[in-house]
Amino acid sequence: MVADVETIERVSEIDVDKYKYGFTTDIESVRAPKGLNEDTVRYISARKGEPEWLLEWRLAAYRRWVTLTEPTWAKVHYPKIDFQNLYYYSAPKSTEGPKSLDEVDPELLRTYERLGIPLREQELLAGVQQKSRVAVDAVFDSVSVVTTFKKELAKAGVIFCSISEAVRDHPELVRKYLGSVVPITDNYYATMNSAVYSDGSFVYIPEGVRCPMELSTYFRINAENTGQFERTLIIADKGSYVSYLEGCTAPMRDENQLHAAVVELIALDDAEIKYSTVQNWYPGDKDGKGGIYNFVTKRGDCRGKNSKISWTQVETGSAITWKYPSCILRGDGSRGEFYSIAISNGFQQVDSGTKMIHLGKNTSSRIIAKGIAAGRSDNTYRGLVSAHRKASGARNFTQCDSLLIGDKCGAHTVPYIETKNASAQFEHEATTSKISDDQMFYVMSRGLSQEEAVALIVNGFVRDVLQQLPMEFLAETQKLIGISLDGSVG
Amino acid sequence: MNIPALNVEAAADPRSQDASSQLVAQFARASASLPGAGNAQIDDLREDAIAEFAVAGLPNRRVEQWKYTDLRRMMSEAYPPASAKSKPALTAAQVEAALGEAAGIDAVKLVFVNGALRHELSDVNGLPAGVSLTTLAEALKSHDAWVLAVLGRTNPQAGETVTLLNTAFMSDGVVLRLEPGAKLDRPVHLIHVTAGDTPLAATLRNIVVAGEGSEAAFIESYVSAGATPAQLNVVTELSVGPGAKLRHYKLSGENKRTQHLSSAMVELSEGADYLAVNFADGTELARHQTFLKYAGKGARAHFYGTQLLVERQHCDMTLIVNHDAVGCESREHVKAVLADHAQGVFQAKVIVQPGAQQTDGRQMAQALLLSDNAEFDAKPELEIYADDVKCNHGATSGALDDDLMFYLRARGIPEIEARSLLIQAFIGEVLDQVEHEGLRDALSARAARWLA
Repeated sequence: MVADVETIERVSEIDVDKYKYGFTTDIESVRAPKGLNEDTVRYISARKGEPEWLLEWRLAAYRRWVTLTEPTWAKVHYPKIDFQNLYYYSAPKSTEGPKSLDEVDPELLRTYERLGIPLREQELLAGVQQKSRVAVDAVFDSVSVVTTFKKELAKAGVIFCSISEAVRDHPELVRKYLGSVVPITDNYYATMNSAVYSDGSFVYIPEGVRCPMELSTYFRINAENTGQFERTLIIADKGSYVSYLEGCTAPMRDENQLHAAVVELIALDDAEIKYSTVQNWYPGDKDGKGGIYNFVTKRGDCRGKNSKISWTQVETGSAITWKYPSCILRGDGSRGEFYSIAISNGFQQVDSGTKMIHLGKNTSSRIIAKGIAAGRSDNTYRGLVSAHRKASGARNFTQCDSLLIGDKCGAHTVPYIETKNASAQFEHEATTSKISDDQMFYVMSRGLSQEEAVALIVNGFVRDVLQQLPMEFLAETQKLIGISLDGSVG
Repeated sequence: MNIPALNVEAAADPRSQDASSQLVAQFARASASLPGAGNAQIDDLREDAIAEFAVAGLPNRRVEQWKYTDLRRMMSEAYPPASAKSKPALTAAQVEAALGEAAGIDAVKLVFVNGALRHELSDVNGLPAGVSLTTLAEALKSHDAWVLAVLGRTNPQAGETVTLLNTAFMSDGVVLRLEPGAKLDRPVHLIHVTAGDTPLAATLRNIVVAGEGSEAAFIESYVSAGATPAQLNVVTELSVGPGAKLRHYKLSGENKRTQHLSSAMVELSEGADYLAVNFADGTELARHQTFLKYAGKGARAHFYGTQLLVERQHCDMTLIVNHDAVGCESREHVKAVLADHAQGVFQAKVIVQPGAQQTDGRQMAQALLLSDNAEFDAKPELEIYADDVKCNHGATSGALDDDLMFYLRARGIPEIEARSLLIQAFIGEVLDQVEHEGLRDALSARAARWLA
C-alpha cells in the first residue's frame, strides 16, 4: 500500500514524455564503417583480437544472414530498416588499453552515476543503506566498460566477465557453449547478432557453487545511428545457482535505433538460473517518434536433469519489442518459468511472450504474463507451449491477462498449445478486461484520487510477477509502472 | 479468362500436377456446364474466384491460418467434380441407413447425392407461410434476382482460399428464406450423401436469410453410403436479421476417405441470436471454418463443437469472430476426444473492433488424449481494441483423470464402461447445447456408438 502511494508521487513528478534516462554522453568513440558486409564482420573480429575459429563462426553467420528475410509475423509495424545505414560497432575511445576503474573516462563514470549504477565497489560497501551487493558488468554501446567484484567472485570460482575477455581467457568454455542454444541459423536477428555481436556478459558457475551475489549487466546505447548487438552466455554447471539481472537505457533520439541481442542460458543437472530483466530502452516521444527497436532472442536450455530456468521480465521501454524468452526443457524433471509484465503506452508496440518446449519426462513449466496497454499502444502476448511425443508427464500452467486503459489501445493474446502426449497436462487461462467501475468506485470511495486508484489496482494486477523480482529491482519496477502509465487514465 | 499463375495446358494430365493446378484445370473444363453459366454476373463471380485461387493455390502450413492443417500436403489430389449424368441409384432406405441415428428426425428434408438434389428422396412439404425454400442450382439457372443480390454478400472473407474454390465450383445447395416474423416449426434438414464407386468432388453453397424476428433451425448432415473417396466443399451463408433466432446444427460423419472443407459465413444484426453445434466423427480430413460478424448491437452467437477422432483422422475447427458492434456476446467451446494417431485442431480468433464496447467473449478448448500418438493443437487468440470488454479464453488438454477412473472403478464399474461414462460426460457439455430434442438424442446415441 505504501509503495503504491510512493508510485503515485513519483508519477506526478515525472511527465510521460520526459524519459529520465534520455541524456546523451559526449564522448569520443571509434566506429566501424557504416553498413554490414564481410569487412564489417572482419573489422569487429580483428578489433577484438579474436581467434580464427570465432571469425569463421561469425562469417558463417553472416553468409547465412544474407540469405534470410526479415520476419513479418509479429503484430508490429515499422518502416523497413535499412541495415546498410547503421553502424555495427561503436566503442568509447578511452576503453582501449587496460581496464581499471581509475583509467576509465570520467565522463563514462558520470554516465553510470546518473543512471544510478554503482561501479565503485568501495562506495557500495560504504553506502549508508547497506543493500545486498550486486556485481555489475557495464556495457556501453559495443563494449564492456568495467566488471565489478571480479576478484571476490573468482574466489568462489565464478567467472563473470565480458564475453570478449571470456574468449581470450576461457576459450574452451565459450567454444563449447556459444551458439549451442541459439544456433547461428536460428532467426534473422539472432543470425545477424552472431555475425556482428560486439560484447556482452559471460558467466560460468562451477559445479556445486551458489553464486555469492547477484550478477548484473547494464546496457547503455549512446552513439547515434548505432545498433547494439550484445551476446550473453550463462552456464550453470551441475548443482549451481545464479541470479542474474539485466537493465538497459538509451538516450532520446529522433531516429529509431536497433538493439538485437542474443542471450543463451545453459543449466546442467540440478542447476538453477534466475534471469531478470528490467527493460527500459527509450520508448520514443509522445508522438511515436524515435525509440529503440528491441529485437531480442533469449533462450534457456535446461540441459540437465532437474535443472531450472526462470525468466522474469518487466518491459516498459522500447518503441517496438519483439522478444520471447524461452525454455527448452530437455532434461528429465526440468522446470521452466516465465513471469512477465509488459506495459505499453504512447505509440509503443510490444509483441512478447515465451516458448516452453517440453522434451524430457516429467518436465513442468509455468507462465504468468500480464500485459497492460494504454495510450495508442499495441500489446501482444504470443506464446507456445508444446509437449513432444516422449515428454510424458509434462505439466504446464499458463495465465496471461491483459488490461486495457483507454479505448485507443489494443491488447492481444496469441497462444499456441500443442500436445502430442496423452499424459501431458496443459492448462491455459487468459482474460482481458479494463479496470472495472466497481473496482474504481471501491478504491476511490476510500479517499484515493483517480490516478492513485488506477496505480493501486494495476500494482495488484501485476503482483504475481512482481513477487518474482529480486529486491533490487522491485522498487525501480514499481516506479516504472507508475511512469509508464502516467497520463493514461480513462 | 485470365489465369495468371498456373498453366492450364500443362495441367492437362491430372496426375502430373498438384491439386491446385488440377483444380484450375478442372474449372476450365467444367465452367460451361456449371449452373448459371452464360449469365455474366455468375460467370464473372466464378472466374474472378478461380483466378484469385490460381495465384495463391492451396494453403500450406506456412500460411498462419493453416499452420496445423497443411492443405497442400493433405490434399495431394483433386478429385473430379461429380458428374450430373451418372446418378448412383440410392433408395430412401439406403439414405436412412447412411444417416444412422439422425434418420428419424422430423424435418423438412432435402437430400443431395454427390452434390445434386434428389427430388424423389426429399420431402419439402408443409412449409409455413413466409418461408421459401429452393435450391441454388435452380436459382442460378433461373438467374433469380434475389439470390444473385445476396450471393456471397454475407460476411465475405476476401481472398479466403476455401470459399474462393467454392464460389468457382458451387453447383447446388439449399436456399432458405424467412420473411420477417416467419417461424419454422420443424427444422430444415440438408442431407448430403456421397455414393458410387469413383472418387468425386462436390461443392455446395447454402444460403439462409432469416428476416427480422423470424425463427428457424437448419441441420446439415454429411454422410457416406459406401466407401467412395470424396472431397466436399460447403459454404453456408447465414444472415440473421434483427431479433431473429437461428439454430444451426451440423453433423460431419462421412467415411474415412472423405475430405471435407466447410465455411459458415455468419452475419448478425441487432439482437440476433445464433447457435451452432458441430459434431464431427467422420472424414479423414476436415476443416470446419466459421466466420462470424456482429453487425448490430446486442447480438449473441454461441458455437459448440465436438470432435471424436480415431486412426489418422484430422479435424480442424477454426473460427474468426469479429465483434464490430456494442454489447454483443460470443461463446466458443470445443471438445475433442482423440485416439490412435488422430489430430484435433481448434483455432479461434476473437477480434473486438474499436468501439465494440461491452463485448463479452469467451473461448474454451478442451481435449482428451486417449493415446500418446494423438495430437491436439489449440490457438485461442484475442485481438482487442476496445477497453470496456470482458474477454477470456482457456485451453486444457490431458488424459482421462485417474482419480475419476478410480472413483468409478471402486464402485464396481468395469474399466471400459468407466472410460465411456467419463467421455460421455466430457462431450455431454457440448451435446446438451443442442436444443432440438430429436437431434440431441441422435447425436448422443451416435457418440455412444463411437465409444462402444
